[in-house]
Amino acid sequence: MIKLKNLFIVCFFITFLFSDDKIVKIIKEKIPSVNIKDINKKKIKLTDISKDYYVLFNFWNMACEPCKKEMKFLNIFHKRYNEYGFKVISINMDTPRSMSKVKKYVKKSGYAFDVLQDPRMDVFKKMGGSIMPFVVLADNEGNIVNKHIGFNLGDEKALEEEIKELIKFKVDTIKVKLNENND
Amino acid sequence: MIRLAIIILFSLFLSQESISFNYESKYGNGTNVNDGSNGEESPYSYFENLLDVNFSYKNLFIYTQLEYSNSPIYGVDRIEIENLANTYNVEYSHLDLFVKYGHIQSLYGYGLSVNMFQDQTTNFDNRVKGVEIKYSPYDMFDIFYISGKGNYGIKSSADKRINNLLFDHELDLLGTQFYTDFGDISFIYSDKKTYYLADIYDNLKISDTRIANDLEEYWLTNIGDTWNNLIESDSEVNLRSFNIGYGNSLGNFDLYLEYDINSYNKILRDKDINGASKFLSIATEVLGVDFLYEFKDYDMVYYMPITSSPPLVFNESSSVLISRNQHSIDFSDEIGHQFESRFNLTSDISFLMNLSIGRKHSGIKNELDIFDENGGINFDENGNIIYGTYTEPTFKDLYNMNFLDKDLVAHKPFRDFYIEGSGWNKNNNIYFKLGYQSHYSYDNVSGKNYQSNSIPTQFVYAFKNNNSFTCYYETQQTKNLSYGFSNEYTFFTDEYEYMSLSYHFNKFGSLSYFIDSEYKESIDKSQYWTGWEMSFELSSSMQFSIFQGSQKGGLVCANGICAVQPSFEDGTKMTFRVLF
Repeated sequence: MIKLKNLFIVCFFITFLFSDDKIVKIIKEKIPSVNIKDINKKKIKLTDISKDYYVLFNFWNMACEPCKKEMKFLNIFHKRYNEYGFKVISINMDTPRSMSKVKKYVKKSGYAFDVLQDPRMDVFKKMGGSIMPFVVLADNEGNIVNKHIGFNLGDEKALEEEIKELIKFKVDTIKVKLNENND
Repeated sequence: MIRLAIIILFSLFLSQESISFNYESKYGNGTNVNDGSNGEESPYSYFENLLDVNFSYKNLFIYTQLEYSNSPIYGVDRIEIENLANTYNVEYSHLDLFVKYGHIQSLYGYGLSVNMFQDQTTNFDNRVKGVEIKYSPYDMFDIFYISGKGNYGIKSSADKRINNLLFDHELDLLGTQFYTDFGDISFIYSDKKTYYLADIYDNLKISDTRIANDLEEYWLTNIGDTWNNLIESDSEVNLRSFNIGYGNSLGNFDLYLEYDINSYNKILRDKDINGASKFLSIATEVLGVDFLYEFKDYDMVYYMPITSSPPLVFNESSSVLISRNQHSIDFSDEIGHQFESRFNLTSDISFLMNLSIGRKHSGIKNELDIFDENGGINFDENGNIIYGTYTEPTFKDLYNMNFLDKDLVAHKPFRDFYIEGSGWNKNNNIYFKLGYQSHYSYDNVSGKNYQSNSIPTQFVYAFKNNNSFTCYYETQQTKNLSYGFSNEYTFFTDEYEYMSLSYHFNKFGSLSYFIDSEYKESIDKSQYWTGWEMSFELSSSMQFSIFQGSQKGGLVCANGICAVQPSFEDGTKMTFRVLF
């Protein structure tokens, strides 16, 4: 019998090491290229709907109270920064048997962003999710740049700053390209 | 293990495209008080480590979950390298084709025929290990196939940490789904085999289900050598099912119905009997108010549904106290209705109302009713006593829930009424929720025989410096009904309170205090559980929390399945979680 306790202690410390932002950024993680349906059962390719956009994916279900609180602010961010090439893509993980409730809830809440279905949590797992609320930020080339777990009231301010940083980066990139063209 | 090593090495080779990790470690060390009559204390500890590894390369995706647990919160220890892989699967998708090999987590329709998943909070796992193929050549047509084997475990009593009743099972399924302008329609044919080992029958027949009653009756008719011979042999139950589902949006109405008709043999017997599961859902909106009606009729009373998990058709609450007395569904024997309505008073204040009722198909045999009209005992042609039957309750009976109605009580009914108001202030820095639940359940055999009223509340306030304060306060009063020898009910009232106060420091973490209390009138005793938790946000995707104190044990329910979480006394719990 091989005891693995020591191995896991090592893993624990490696985890700390790898969780340093600079190291994480070396490993490029892409938005998964998967087909997914929206809440009206229309098939969509995730990479198509997010193409050329800075995207915030949020994963939620009806039982997740903090997720629903966070979505109120995500809706504001989506409306506020959509014209700057940013969008929120919301991914619901309720099973189809709760879909009637989800559709009514989304409509009642007046969300302006797209809501997609991931009943088997395939996309959630592919993006490395394990608990909710789970938010993934990606750049306009489909690279995942950051992930957030959990939500407390007040966290939305830091999230908005992060979104503004992303958009600023895009504006800078456009400026560089324009300058290159002018030169 | 060699297979796993090949998968990991292959994955690392391909991982140039994308790779992600997710690590969670849980440690706890304290004592556990037996909630039964003896109140004995015993050491209670766990050390659970889960490492999820995701690799993707073009159209290939590989998922593995490695586990080292000594001991886990639920389930068996995993300390040997052979047991390291808790879950793995390899997925390939290209154009219209999707192929998955490994642990199959799948759902078709609303789950009356197939809904396989793993839930570690309740130690539930009905997945099969095998292959799933899906081909979608056109937007309006899917064809799918699943074949695999699994090992399903349940507990002979809810407070066990390890599933001690295990069943091997097999699934072969072929289905198709059409998406048309006239609605979506699906057809699924499945063949399910469940294997029962010889030493399991005695455990099965002491549980409180129709399948147990059936085994008990079979035992009584074959008592002696015949039974002894029977229980020494393994048996196989084979179910063949045909499932049809239809969903459509007609104007303001969303409609879904699913019908699963099946045929199976009883345990230890070859003769087939028929069963069926039916589900209907209608949702609409009238004058800004949403209405939902759902109906269930799950009637396959001598079968243990394993790879399916149909809709619950009752409200699942996130309240701590309400979830402790949530209805525990029997997917093989239940009929019920759910009405739900939502509306917004303003754009920031919403209301929810839910009424759910349900019962078993038939009352247990009426052992008090064995006499004919002349006062003599009724016997059948073989000399067995013929017991009376209970009258089927009406919808009105279920709504009224009169515990003195013996016909109603025999059907083990429940009624759950929940109303909730929640909302935000204009500045979005105050959130509140206030609810009320009335839950009546009459099931004397399983001990769920009570009338309960609960009030859950939640209040959140965000300060200008982005810190926030959260308060959950819940109170519950439960009248437990005991059926005495004199055919009279007596009541004992239990009172419960739960409060959690939490202050969140922005970008740093939270400090929380919990208090859980109960007063039991039957023993005139009060108890308290208190604890502190400090959680640290080490980064946006890394958290560490430490808990010190005691936590009350109780039911943890999810997806209609409930598990008893042991109480935790005077100890320390630590959780570390990171995505990278």
